[in-house]
Amino acid sequence: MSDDDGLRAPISPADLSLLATELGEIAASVDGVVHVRARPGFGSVVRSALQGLSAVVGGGGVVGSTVQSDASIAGATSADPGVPASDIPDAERADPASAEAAAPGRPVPLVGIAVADLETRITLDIAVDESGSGPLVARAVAQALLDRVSGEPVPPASVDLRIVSVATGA
Amino acid sequence: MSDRPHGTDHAHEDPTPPDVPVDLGGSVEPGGSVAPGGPVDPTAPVDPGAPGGADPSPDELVAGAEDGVSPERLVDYLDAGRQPYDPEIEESPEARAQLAALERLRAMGARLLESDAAASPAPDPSWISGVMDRVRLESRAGRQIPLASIDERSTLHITEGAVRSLIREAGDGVEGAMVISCTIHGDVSVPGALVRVEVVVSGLFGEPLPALAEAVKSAVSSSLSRQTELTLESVDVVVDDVHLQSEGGAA
Repeated sequence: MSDDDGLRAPISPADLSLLATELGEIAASVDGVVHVRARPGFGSVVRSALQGLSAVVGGGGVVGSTVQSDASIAGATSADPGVPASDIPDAERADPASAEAAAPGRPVPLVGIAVADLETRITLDIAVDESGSGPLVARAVAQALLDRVSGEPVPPASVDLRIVSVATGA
Repeated sequence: MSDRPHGTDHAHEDPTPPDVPVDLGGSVEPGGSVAPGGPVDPTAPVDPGAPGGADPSPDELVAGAEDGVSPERLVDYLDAGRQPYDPEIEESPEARAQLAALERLRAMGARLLESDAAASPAPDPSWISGVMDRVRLESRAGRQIPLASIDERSTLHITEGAVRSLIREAGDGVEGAMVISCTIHGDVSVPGALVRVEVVVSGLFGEPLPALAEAVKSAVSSSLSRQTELTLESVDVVVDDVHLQSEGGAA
């Protein structure tokens, strides 16, 4: 991050959701990627794994649905920094700025982004084409996502990517 | 190594050792003791204690029966030509793997019936059911197998379920072979750890079994080399059964 980072406004949950959608499109456009999928349980995993979680978007599903919407979109409140995000009910975590992105019925981005104090974690699952090399495709996807996020006002990003399927004849 | 980032020493380029044992100890020779009416023990594929038994525990077996897409639904979906599009199936890696295996089973059955249409009775449903039970088990995500990453903080993996599907597909792709089960032995979560892959197959009656096993081994090794960074100690192929065209054993 540059010296200017401290002066930049933090990214809003709505913009973060748009970024997650864009990351999904970037991942899907990488040669050899057949599908981009949400990571099952993404929301609960990042909430338990990351300290100082401030926002979580993506992870698949539909806002307002009880199915696969474990992440949806939430901006952790800063009113009580001693309360971990995982202890804050979703309704309380909801940020007015995220209203557009979290409109009921709108699909949640497949790519999950969790922003914590010191780290931004990008999480996704992909299916790759059998004709290529899965490891090379995975690294190409990860690099493309990191390149895209590098200009955003978020803590340093890392990628958690899984190949969950190798498809033939795709 | 040129196409991989630094720090990826655990990933080797040729996972196929020069001397890969092919275990035919459990094989059944053509003309041997194969009972025409009983080509395959349908319960064997889901018995964790059987040769090639999978890693999942009995508890997981029970759990596996309760989640995911039911076999009946997959069959119906395939019968309908995969229409209308079912996102729960098409967008689930596990369901897709099962669907692919089911399609291969059917394709093999169709080929066998075409080659011996007059003599072929209806396929043995219990045989298919046994194999599909195993496919369901193996298609679960399982362990996470690391891939060399692009930096220290990012983590890249391929799921064990995806790898087992690869193995099964590679084996099924060999003419005359039908994969009954596949197991990855070893700590796959540790980069560079030696792992052993065991593939249990049924061979078509009349096929030279050593050549068949060698072809399966080669296909599996090649596929794993391209799609994973596992350090293979060996790929062991066990021809555990012989299926007969006239009995529709693999159909």
